[in-house]
Amino acid sequence: MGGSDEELMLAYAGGDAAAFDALYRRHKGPLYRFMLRSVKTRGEAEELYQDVWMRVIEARARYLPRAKFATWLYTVAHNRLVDHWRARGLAAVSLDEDELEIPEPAAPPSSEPERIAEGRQAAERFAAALAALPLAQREAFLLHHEGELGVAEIAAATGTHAEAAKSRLRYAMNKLREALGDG
Amino acid sequence: MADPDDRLSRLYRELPREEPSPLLDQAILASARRAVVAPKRNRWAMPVSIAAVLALGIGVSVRMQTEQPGVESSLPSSPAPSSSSEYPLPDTSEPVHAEAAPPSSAQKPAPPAPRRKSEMAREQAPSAKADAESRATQPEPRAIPSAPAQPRGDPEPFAGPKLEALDKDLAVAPPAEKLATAPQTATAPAAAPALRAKRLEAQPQAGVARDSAAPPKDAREIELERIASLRAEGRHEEADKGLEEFRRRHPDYPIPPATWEKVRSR
Repeated sequence: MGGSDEELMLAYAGGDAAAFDALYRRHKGPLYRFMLRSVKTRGEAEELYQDVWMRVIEARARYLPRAKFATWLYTVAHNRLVDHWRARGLAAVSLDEDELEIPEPAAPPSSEPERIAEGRQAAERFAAALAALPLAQREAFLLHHEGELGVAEIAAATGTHAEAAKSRLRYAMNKLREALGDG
Repeated sequence: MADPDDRLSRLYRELPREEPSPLLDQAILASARRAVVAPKRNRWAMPVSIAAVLALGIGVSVRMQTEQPGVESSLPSSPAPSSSSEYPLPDTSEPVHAEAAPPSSAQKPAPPAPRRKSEMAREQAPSAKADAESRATQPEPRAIPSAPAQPRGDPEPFAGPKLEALDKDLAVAPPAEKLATAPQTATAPAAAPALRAKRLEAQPQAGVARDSAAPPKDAREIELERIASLRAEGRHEEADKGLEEFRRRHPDYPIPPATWEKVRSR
């Protein structure tokens, strides 16, 4: 089923269940990974992921295509994550300036097997560094890379202004680069 | 050297590409379908339910308006026999005590023949059809005259005059008066059904609770009325026989003086 995300959402709000199927197929992977990398366990991620889609379903009649559907979808996801963090006594913004423990960069590889091993280690270090990012910075990075949102859209989705969103994203990139030894 | 941002993006894409489980997908998609399908069903269910309730209510109201007033409220208090053989009226050969009945209990004599019964039903009810329907589940005075014989096989030769006398003494409603002027051609087998019909039809007008509480007393009163009517018609021989039978069956029954004047031997 073709059409933009916004058209599909409007069609679904009008009663077209097939439109939702198409919309879901487009966004299920990125949104799932966004949730999976924002929380600690797969169980939490699945619960939050399902909650987000339930909220989308319930809010279908109120949906207005004033922005990209993805921005609206990740706004819903952000709000659900904030609820989740608050329930655990965490605050996304207050952790902005947390220092990240960056692993020591590995020595340059000297041969092909070593290069392969180094690549695997880099991926592992990257994953560890991503998981260690402060919540708001990690969220900004995930929204940019999974949700394919720009700075303005990240700001809209997270309820902040563009400068703050840009700063969070920049901090996240810098810390990840440092973790990989590129800083 | 590659752009550091590109390297970060490449590293991120090399991370596992997890997907939600098929079960989770199915649950979400099913919820989405239910959300848009269920309201359509509910949108029709509510108006249809309201229309059905309104139609039912209007139908019942119209039907109730065609019913004879008072039938529904008075019949449940009666013994509610379902047939002539079940009706608890005592043997029609028993004498009755007319004065024991209060003046308000206007009793109408039942016609001895089905034809007269039908006439009475038409006079009393605004709708003959509704009357028939309302009586279908209640003591059925209309069906009683069609019974060919008394329930106990007790012959009663004075049915016609008895009814006439009861009409004269007790009837206060126009239908009863009309019946009182009808020809008295009833035969003995029709007497018992006629008495039962008369009593059933008198109940909605007055004395329902009293009638249902003491049916034997009514029977004695009615019998005395019958004897009095025979006496008034000059059929003294039949009246004497009736009085003798009454005394034999109810030796201790105190006949009031006013009634005694009507039934005593001449």
